[in-house]
Amino acid sequence: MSHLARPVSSSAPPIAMAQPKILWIDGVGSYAICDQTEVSIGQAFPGNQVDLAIRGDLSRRAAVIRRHGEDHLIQPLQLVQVNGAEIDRAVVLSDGNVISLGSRIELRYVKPTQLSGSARLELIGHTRWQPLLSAALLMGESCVLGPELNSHVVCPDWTTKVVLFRNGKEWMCRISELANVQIDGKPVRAPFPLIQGQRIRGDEISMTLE
Amino acid sequence: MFTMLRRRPQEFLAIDAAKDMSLGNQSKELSRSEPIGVSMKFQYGSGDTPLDGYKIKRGVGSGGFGEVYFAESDSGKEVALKRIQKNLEVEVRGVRHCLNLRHPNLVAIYDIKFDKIEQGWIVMEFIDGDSLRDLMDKAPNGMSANDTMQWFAQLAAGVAYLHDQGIVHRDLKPANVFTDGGLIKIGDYGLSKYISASRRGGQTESVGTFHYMAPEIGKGEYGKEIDIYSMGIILYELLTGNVPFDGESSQEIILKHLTADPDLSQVPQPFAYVIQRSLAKNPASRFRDCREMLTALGWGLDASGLAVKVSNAIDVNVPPVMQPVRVAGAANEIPIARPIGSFDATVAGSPKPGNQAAGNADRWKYRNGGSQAAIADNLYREPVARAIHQAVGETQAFFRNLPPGGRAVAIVLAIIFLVMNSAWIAPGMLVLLGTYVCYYFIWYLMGGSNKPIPTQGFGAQPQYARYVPPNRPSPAAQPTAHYKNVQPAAPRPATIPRKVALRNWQSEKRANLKQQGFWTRTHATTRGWALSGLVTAVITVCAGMLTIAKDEGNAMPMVSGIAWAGIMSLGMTWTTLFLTRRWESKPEDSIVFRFVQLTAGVLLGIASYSLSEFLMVPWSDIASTQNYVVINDGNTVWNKSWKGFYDQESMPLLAGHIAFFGGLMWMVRWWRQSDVLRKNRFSVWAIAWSVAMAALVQGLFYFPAPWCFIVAGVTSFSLQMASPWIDYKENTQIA
Repeated sequence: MSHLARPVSSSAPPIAMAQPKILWIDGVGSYAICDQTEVSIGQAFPGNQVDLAIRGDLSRRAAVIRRHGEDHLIQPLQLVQVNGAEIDRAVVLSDGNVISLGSRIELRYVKPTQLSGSARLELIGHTRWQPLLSAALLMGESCVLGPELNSHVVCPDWTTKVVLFRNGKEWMCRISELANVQIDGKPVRAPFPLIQGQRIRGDEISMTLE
Repeated sequence: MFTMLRRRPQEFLAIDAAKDMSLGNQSKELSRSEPIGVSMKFQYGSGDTPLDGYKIKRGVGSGGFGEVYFAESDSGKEVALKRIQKNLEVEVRGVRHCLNLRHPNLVAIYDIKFDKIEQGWIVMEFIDGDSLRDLMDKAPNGMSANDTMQWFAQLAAGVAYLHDQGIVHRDLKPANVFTDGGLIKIGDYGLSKYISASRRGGQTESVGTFHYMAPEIGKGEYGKEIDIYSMGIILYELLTGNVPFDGESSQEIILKHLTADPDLSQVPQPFAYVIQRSLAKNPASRFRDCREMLTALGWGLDASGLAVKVSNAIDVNVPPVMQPVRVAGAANEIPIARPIGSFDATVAGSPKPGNQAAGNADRWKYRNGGSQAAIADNLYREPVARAIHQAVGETQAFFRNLPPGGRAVAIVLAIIFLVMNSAWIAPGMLVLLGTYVCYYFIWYLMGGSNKPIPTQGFGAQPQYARYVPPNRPSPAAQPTAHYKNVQPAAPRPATIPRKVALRNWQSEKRANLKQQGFWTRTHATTRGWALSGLVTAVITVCAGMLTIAKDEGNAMPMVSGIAWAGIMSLGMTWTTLFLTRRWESKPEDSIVFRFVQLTAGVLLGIASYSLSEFLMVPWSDIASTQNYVVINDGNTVWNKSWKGFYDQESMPLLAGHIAFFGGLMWMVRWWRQSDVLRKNRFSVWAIAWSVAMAALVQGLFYFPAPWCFIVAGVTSFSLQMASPWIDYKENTQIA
């Protein structure tokens, strides 16, 4: 598991990344944390080096999504449609766009709030991510996990929210004091760095970044 | 936690019954402010490997039964791991029984494993999808008929497979049903999750929602009928977004399961019929199995046990079997829904006024068809109107069955009768109409049009203490021979519900009634007294007013007679209500009951004599018949044996009053009209019978003629109006 040994944040170019960082949230789901400038999307098969792998009928590298300030641009590498219109060059994505890769794969680009450059990429229909993900998070400068519907990760059973934000190369985590958060069993004061392999637990929050 | 409460208000978790408390007390503990269900605390976190060969990725959910994790095997197989936290042996036995079941609509169980510290784990198929609960939360007003059918048919297919394997799920609810890319998967079968409110029940912990529980679970019956019942509830919830029986406390919900009828006014056919039959209180009246249930919806199972559509019974775009009824439309243009199958749904009628008052122009309403009685039931929420409608229908049927000659004779007789008696029929009808209008007004003001047929006054408490091991299917759960007779793919018309003997149902219910406490009974009695007092008062006052208006200045004799009749009717009603509330939990012992009534009748006779003396009722002036006159002049002495009953002015003496009331109380089994388990809420025939019996007594003792009939009729009327009633739907529905 070499990726576990990688430094926490890598805004380095996406080379040789077999697996994205995954945030496992108990009772909610699993989310890929894509904090690179460029995120490649392609077919899931052994040995394919893409950031986000989809099981389905698409190219090894179907598209690249590039972060540009607060926006995301999609660069087609095969037949890519945005809202049904084929694109031949990079276009800016906006909330609710449906991206079609190949003939059968559809993704929805969700940008719940304009206050943050982060967005969520969901698969529509029967296709699935490899490994299994609820969605992929295209990280901007900050990202909200909480009960509100305009959160990047909607956690319906929570009463508090968690904000992830960039601090240089690492990701920090801000949680209300009331959540009684502990890391690996020890109380911790927010904000604290989000480190892979650490288990974050509160009264109702329980998650691990893998 | 609060957001979760908002999302899942229907679910109750009854955890920890270590304290020995009754269900009644417990219901307070189960209030909605309790934290429920999913706590995000999991013992194991991502990366833990408590079970050799599996790496836990995240917690998925947890409840009283254990925690569920998403995990990956070393070779990459995605699974769900359920850690059994309680009753390890029992659960393992139950799950082992289900280990090799295979059906696309069941969550597959791969294996049972034990870790180093002897914890049991169930290795299952991981479902990457919402539960039906989540889907319903997203559709608070229910789903479309098509979506409903998509989910429900698969659910039924899965349950049918379980039943074929001799397994009863026992805890079917939307939270246990998952959707996986359009496929329905039933989970949690083989696990024992029973309500157990007593620590003596074998289980110290219990989990369950009361909303989906069949009433007979309280008696420890776990046949496959309880799954049919739960499916009926789920079907209702899919369509409407609400469970049919909801309440503030578990006890209230349970009581509704036991007594109330689902409100099917918003449910289209054939769903309404399927729900109604699935939710029959009597398990024997429900669908025999899932196939029958599916067939009634125009679906079936193919050879591989998958749900398939076999007829166009449900086609939402162009509904052939149900024509929506626009409530705001003109009353006469409302078409009657014709449900599938062989029902007679040809009775026309005007919609009930309450319905129009609440009419919402944009709201589609479907007539709750089914049978004649069911239609009448829906048209006339008001019991008197419904009873009259029913009586008219029965008379029509009787008339139609007569031979042609008989019909002619009946018509001629009816005409002669009308002509001869028009003198009193016209004013009589007027009085009745006036009374009814007053009564309807009061009934409407009391919210009668909005609430379902009241079934209060019934406080049975089910005991949820019995525990049944999950791997011991009850005899009813075994696959039976008739399964094999079903041709899965063949379209079959919905079968007509089987009639279950009213008597069986009554004896079953009567046993429940025994559990009523003293105060419940007293409350029922006083409530009945108040209601009957109101009804009698309204009738008496109306009749009195009309008489005064009619015979201006000379109304006193009539008014005193009316007052006497009103008070005596009330006396008889109250006596009967008092006696019935004490008798209703006992098996009927006719001769003893009659004797007690006779005794009461003697007392009533004494009261009647005192009353008529007090009011100075001039019987000879107000009686229509004079044949009671005993002639003492020596020439035409007849009927001398009753001499002591009447005085020279033919006023009835004490003995006459006692003879009449004693006779009437002996002849009529009044307790039956007041019985909470009587067949019909309101029966015109019961009134007719009471009056006929009064005529018989009058023929014997020559009590002043119209008044004895009036007393009997009014007593019967107010008795039926004031007595609580538990609807035996099947019985009234089957025409």
